[in-house]
Amino acid sequence: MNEAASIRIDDAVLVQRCRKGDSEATERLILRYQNRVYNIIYRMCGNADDAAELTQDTFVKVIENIDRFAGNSTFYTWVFRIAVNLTLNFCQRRSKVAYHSIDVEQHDQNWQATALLKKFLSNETSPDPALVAQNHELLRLLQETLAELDEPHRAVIVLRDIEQMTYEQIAKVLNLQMGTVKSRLNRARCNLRDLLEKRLK
Amino acid sequence: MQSERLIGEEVEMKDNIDEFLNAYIDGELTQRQQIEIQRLIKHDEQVAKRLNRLQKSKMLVASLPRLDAPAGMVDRIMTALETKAILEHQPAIVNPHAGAAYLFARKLVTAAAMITLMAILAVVVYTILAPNSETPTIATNGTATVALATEDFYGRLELTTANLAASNAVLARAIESQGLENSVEAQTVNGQNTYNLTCSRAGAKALIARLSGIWKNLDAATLVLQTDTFAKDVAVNTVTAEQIAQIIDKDTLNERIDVANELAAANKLAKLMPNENMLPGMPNHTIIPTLVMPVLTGDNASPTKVAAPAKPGERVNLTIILRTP
Repeated sequence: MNEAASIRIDDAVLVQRCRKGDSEATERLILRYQNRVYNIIYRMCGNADDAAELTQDTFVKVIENIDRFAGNSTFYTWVFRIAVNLTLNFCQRRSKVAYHSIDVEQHDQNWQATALLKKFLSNETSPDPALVAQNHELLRLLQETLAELDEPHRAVIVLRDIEQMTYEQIAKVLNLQMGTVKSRLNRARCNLRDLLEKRLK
Repeated sequence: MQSERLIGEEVEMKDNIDEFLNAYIDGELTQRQQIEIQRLIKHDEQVAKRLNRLQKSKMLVASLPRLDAPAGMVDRIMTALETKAILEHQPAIVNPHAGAAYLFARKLVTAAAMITLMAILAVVVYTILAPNSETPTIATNGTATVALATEDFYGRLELTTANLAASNAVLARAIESQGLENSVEAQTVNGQNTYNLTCSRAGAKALIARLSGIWKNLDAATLVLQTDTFAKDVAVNTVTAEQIAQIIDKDTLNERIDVANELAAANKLAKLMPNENMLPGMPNHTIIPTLVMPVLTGDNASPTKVAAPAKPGERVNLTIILRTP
């Protein structure tokens, strides 16, 4: 709590300096959030180049509109709201998320990943995330499955499970009621589980 | 019907339980709610299984590695910001209002140019086609008219006579009788009398006609045409009064010079003939105009004064010099 408060104060100071045209403060703000912003954008759009482009657009928009930041929410929430909105608009414009197709050589790895996923999801075993994190093919499979979710569900699950936002923060970023966040998150996880099990079949 | 309602309630309840279970694994429940859920999990195997499924889904997504932004992202962003700032501060290439104003101004200028051109064209056409009221016309065959540009006459008549006093008296009387007193400036220098006459063509011709009487007393009479165009003046020696009238009667300097040259040649030829005479037979007497002579109607009657205000182009500037040989 204290750390979070100090970050917010620090953000406020940097924002003030940024408003006065301090380029060093601007760079510090970008450096502070660029990786997190890029990460959630990448998990939402599934393409590195698009994610980089959208990250750049996000910060350009943030700096250009920094005078409009009223401080009603945290700077962090405000930045992520801009990033998520840009990404959702981008994904809606794009008819289909482009992913690398799985070629023949990857079939073996794909089979191993599927087997690992099956074992992971089975009720008889206890979850071991370290096993998943070590299997790149399984991660790719997971990313593809995530991309199959519709945008609102994908956004809420990325913000919660990857960015570790609280429900309140998610509600502010997505401009939703708390109850909607809970139900949408529940539906998103159920859908993801269904999609993963469908892959196992 | 009742069974359908029961199934619906069961699904709704399951959804509600799932929401609580999700909130439980996300740490979003109050302490009391957490205790309730823990109690439910302990006593309901199905709920425990559902919790396990949800936890695995969450862990699976959370296991995705965190990716860092590409290197140089800050530079990319700062460059993009600078580029946008430069582009936004550049003046608009096309200002629609300025364009409209410019177009309107161009239309005005074009219209003004068109009107000016039409006016110039109209003036040119009018100059070519319209009759010039200031240009005198003379009848040639009674029907057709020819426009002539008349020019003032400039000349000097040098009369040499042994009887200067008598000739002076005749000249003075002639000037008076023609009412040209105001048109003549007389002066006497070194024994020669000079009369600077400026009058109408008719007045000059009438004066010369009045002077024809003194011609028999003259030793020499020379008419000098003053020209600006030619290098030297044209002189007609042994000129007669009729010849002077003939020359003055011409409208232009060129015509006068032509006639003067012709008369000078004729006079020179006449002088070479055995019966030299001051009044040589003119080769073309038909062209000599009839001199306007004063008509005497009685003792008290004054001669007709033909002198009239000279108009531009009809003015005669004649200097008459009377001198002794």
